[in-house]
Amino acid sequence: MSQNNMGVQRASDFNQAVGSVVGEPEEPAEYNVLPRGARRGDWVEIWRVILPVGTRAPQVPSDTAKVPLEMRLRGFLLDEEAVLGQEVVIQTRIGREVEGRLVELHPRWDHDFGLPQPELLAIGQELRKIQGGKG
Amino acid sequence: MNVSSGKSYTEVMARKSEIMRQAVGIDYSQFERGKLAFDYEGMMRSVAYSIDESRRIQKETGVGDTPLLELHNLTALAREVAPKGKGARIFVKDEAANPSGSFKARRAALSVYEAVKRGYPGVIAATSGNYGAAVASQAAMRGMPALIVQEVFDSSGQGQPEIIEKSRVCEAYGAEVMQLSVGPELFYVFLQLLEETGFFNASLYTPFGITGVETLGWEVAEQTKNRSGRLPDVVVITHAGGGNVTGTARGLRKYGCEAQVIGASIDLRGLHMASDRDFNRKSFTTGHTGFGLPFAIYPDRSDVPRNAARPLRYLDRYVTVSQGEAFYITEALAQLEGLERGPAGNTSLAAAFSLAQEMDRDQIIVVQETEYTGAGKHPQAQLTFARANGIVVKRGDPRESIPGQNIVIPEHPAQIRAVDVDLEHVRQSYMKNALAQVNPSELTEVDLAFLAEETRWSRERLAQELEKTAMLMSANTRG
Repeated sequence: MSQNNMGVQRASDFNQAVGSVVGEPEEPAEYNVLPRGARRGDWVEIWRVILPVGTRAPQVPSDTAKVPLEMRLRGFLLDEEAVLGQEVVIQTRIGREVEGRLVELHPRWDHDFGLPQPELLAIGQELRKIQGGKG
Repeated sequence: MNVSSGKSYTEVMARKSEIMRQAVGIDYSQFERGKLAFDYEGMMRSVAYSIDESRRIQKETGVGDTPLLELHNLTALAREVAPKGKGARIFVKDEAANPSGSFKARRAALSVYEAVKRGYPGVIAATSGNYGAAVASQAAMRGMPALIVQEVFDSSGQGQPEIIEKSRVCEAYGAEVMQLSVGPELFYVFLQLLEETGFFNASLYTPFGITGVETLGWEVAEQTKNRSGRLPDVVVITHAGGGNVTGTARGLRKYGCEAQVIGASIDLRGLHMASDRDFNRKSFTTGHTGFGLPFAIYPDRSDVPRNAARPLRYLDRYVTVSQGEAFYITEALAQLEGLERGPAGNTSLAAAFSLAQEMDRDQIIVVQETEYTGAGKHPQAQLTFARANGIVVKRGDPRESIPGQNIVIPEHPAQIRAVDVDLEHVRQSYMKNALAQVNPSELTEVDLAFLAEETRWSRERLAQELEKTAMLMSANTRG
């Protein structure tokens, strides 16, 4: 690893700051089910309107001008308890504190590799046929 | 540093220059010359690094020295469909082998190094592409917090799968990822975050961001020579913001390689990049004409006062391919060469497959990048998403492609064709834009020399074009 004297000091600072709000897991989380809401230290997603309709940049096309500029951000909940839809404060991975509406508890990444596409599936064999024809 | 006054769009934008100056630590005004010129090479020399220094810095975090692979089977396939005696050897630089899975690690390596060196408390980057992952990864290695701001979803909350994957990977490297809906005001949010955090702006367009790519051009020349005994004849580069073209070309030239530099973009003409509706009607979120053309015509539209990426200075030729052709070649690369990469990084490969057929068999064409593939960032994921958004996906002739309406996957490799963009027309647009701010009669000698370098026109040609542009503009004003 390279010499990075300056960065390391800061890194430990921000790691400590983030570490302090991550709660001890008490029981297995019931993902996306909120019988008792979210608790301090839970990994959550907040949402906020940054520019409401009417305050957007003058150069945006008409369809974009008709909708607000929105933000989504994930982090650890700083409020002791909260339910979906409530205004809360989170601490992000780098220790920033940001306010917004609680919209998801334990947000997951659910993008995937999609469905098999017939238009692509055919290509491999077609190419091997072209290769075989001359090879 | 925190002199935040008003937070409205116009108030923050009015503080743009001051915020940016603090966030990159470069006083760009020292390079300004004449009415519209600036000392480009002077700027590159004074704040960037030599090839040797860049390589040393990149080596510290395992960046660079990626393998150069000869694509024997794709070369054979190109020869099958090429005119007799044609079909250059196709090589690819496997940039996916960099720590964060793309050539962007080279740019991030220098930016993050610079941020640490200058004592900034963190790094921030506005990017929905591979650069976010690169900054997050390099920041993790050097123990710095990273904040990545991305344009991810439309007004219905639907995210582009390729960008969602990039959010995920940035988070995996410990970065904070701010996801925004569609709109150019991302820059406004970005400026506010720079003010709030005092972080270094790891812009793609600082001299560091460009110098980082020079090592790639250098390696392409060096490895091709070591391997085949000759320098490449053509290097094909996926072109978006211009940094890939600029850095690679500069690296090639520094090595002493005069290879023809060809830029390639996905043709997305007709789709508006700031449109909430069009946002999820495209299957490529980078490497497309929506960035490639505007950044060539108006490079200083970027997030720094003077863009170190000047693609028009280096492009010998600029071609486009369709989305369907890039998906086809991505599938072919996996099936015939055993390399699952891309898809966006394969834009230049699709072009090279066509361009190789114009070249002799003993010539060499190098595709200078690959990128990692993953969930969302994959032809199947993108086509599934496209269909869900009403795009027609079919086999056929790629000439029938209409961006935002259909994706046409070729029926045969012979249908893959790189289509030339008229660079003269692009240069004329550049000129028109440059002259929108200055009256041609006020241009000084230093401005004329600058414009000649920017357009690669002779002084005679430049004089003719200036006259033509001035006439057109006065006609427009009168009309």
